[in-house]
Amino acid sequence: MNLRMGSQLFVDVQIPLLWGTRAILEDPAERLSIINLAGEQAILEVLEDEPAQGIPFAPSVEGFVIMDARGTELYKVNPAGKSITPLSLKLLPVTISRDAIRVGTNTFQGNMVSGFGVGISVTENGIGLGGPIPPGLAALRV
Amino acid sequence: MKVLLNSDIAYSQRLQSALPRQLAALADACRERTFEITLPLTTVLEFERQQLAIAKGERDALTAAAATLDLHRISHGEFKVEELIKTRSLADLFRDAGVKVEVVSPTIEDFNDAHRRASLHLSPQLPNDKGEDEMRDLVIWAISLRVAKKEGGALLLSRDRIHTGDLGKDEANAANLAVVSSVDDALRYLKIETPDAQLFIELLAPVWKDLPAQGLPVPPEVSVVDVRKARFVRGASGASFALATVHVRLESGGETAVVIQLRTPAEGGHPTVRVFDAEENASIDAFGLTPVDSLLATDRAYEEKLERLRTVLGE
Repeated sequence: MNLRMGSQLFVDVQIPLLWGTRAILEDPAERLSIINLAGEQAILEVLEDEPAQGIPFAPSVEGFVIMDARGTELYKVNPAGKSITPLSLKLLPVTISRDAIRVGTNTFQGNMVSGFGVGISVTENGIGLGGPIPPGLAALRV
Repeated sequence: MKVLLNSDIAYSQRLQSALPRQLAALADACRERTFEITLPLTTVLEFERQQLAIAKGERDALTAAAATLDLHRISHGEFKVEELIKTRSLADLFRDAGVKVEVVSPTIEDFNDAHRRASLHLSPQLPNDKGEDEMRDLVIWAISLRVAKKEGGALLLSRDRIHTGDLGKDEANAANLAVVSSVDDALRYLKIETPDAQLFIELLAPVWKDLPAQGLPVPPEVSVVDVRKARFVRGASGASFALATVHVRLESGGETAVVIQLRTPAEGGHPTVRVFDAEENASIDAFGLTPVDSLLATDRAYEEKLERLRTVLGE
């Protein structure tokens, strides 16, 4: 896909921003969607700044918290601030602004990523720019 | 959620080695809900100043007592008043209570904002000659607005007329800054006026009258005291499944905690409610979130959103 997100230009990239096992997308109207690619089938968790159907959540002052089926709080989404903050997930927080993508204290600004499986990759171990899709992830389809 | 404290809420006439009862209750409420106490540095410093003054008084009294004993040649052990009488920071007192605490220093923008408000007599300050338009109150106001805007909302505890008057209400509303004037009001806010509690009560209200048939003898009017661990599953048009531990007031005047499950049928109509004994299972975690029937329902607006996402994905 080709997508401009947080001043980065992703060209011919399959997953622009992979946060753990979750693809984070911001559409041209700056609405966030999050898709969990763990397992055999992709599960849509956030659709255009709102919890997706069938996904456990709780509203919060800042936005909402996405949970698993047992009620464990996974991460919170601030639609106004365009930020995703881990709760039980061991990942760095992500904020997508018009001029940058911030991952923890790291800032990606004005990059072009072309021809990679993953544009920006955030794992428990670190951050990467341009790389292959990790094995075992479901196809990015909704 | 961030809970900010003005210095008047933490004011004490005694030397504090632990949080006073009311603030301990606030700390407990925040800890249970994973809310964070945010202390403007101004509040921390004012508390420190008060505590140092009290400590000085106590040290002076102790020193004087020792001098009196010495004067009358009455023996006593050696001691150092500074080691016997110590002050503790407000932040440490909250940390000891197990709640997450952040001390926020004013930025140059906060100072400039407060200076402008003070100089031009802008809201929320009240024009007066009684010293109530102090710069530090305006700094705390500037910090509170900044934190609320950054976090998407916050709660400020303050009894100060500058913070609680009408002049700042529009500004506070715009920043989603709630202002309460007592710990009791804050506890009420944290229990039933948080977004998750409000949504649950909103869903519960239409089936409230069904609760007595479920063995929960509640009065006719909705009487929810506390909502905890609320969770929801979105259906075709809003939350169609909800679960929470709810403290309700009974018709007898007592209170009880139960787990309440709400489900809205896919085809619409009257929601169903089930009540579980909270103590039987000890924890709401015993209840899993089952898929909702309404996932099968058509929702044109949702489908349109899905189509837009599919376009982004290039499907």
